[in-house]
Amino acid sequence: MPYIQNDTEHVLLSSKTPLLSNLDMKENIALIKEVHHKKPRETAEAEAKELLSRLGVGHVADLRSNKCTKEEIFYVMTIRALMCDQPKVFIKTPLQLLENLDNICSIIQNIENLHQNKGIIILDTKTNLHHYKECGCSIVE
Amino acid sequence: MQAFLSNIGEKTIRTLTSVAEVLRFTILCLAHMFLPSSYNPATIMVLVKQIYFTAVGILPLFMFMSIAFGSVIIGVVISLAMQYGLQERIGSILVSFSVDEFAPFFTTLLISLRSSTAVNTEIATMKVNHELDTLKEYRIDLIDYLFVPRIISGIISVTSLSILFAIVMLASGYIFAFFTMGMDLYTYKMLLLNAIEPKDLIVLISKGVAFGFVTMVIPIYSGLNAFDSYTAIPISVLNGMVKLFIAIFMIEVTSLLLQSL
Repeated sequence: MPYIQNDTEHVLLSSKTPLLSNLDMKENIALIKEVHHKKPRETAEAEAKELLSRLGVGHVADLRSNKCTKEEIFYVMTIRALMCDQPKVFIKTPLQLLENLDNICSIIQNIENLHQNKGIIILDTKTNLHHYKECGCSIVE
Repeated sequence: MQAFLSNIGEKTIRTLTSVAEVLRFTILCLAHMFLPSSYNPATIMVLVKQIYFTAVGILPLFMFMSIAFGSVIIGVVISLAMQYGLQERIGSILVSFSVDEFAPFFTTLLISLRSSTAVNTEIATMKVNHELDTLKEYRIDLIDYLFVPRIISGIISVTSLSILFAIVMLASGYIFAFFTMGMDLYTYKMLLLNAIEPKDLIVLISKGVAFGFVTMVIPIYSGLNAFDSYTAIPISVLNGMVKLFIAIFMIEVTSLLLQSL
């Protein structure tokens, strides 16, 4: 059984990569910087809080996932993925993570405002294509 | 006949493969424990939390148990020693019984019931919830982040609590010695100090380390091998606890054999 993944190209965000339930939201995000960059806990958590506030979900920083909405969890998962060193983030079928895709364009816009200089690629089925048409992102069928 | 032999062969191969896998996992964990690269702020935080949950959280219950059991059991040992005319050797009997045998064994049982079950359930739940997949996807080494802090906390907790148990047990034994033998504190203290040898401390510490190691490694391994279903969690805990108790008894027997040499 492998105890670590060695793929360095991209990081995946999907229903198979949930948040750690024994950590709160800021700790979930800070964990990446603490492990990969050996950043002190306080610094990494302050950075996580700041990013959460920029997305308008700063109030969930100290909560665990069972106290948050699916949209808040999605934002936290996205920030956590953006904390990684990999240049690309693959988001696989967001509908499995969000209640619906009605707000997907505003969510994408919000994430873009973080200016993390990473390529975010959303992988979704054709049946959900119409949700992305208004988003202003390039769509490859 | 052929089916019977093939059944035995299959079971033997399965058992040996399982033992080899456990050994490989144990060696891997040991190697990571000594690698400086295994430690980062997140690992240290998990270690601190684990020591708190395993050793500090149990203290009130542990102190009560050590005083209650300590005074009663030491009382029984003193009574038996007097009954068989072994008054002269009471000191060494008390020290060998409480320091070498009872303190580490009882501490391990308490920690196994309280923390090993929790660790086994936690790892199995993380496996079923795909949280272990998350860690792997984000290139966080499971051994460094999850296993090493728990194993170190097990070693530190069992060793330190065993020492504490032995001290409290011997101290509470004075109550019995005072009421049954009319022994004063100075005599009791000198009796124990003259009886205790470096060998006793070595046995106590090495047993604490060995017990602490298995009380965490076996539940972790068992949780890691849970199937991807919630119904697999209790099965994983059950299997882990059975294996853990076998390991504890094996260590105890090995230690007795080594001491008798």
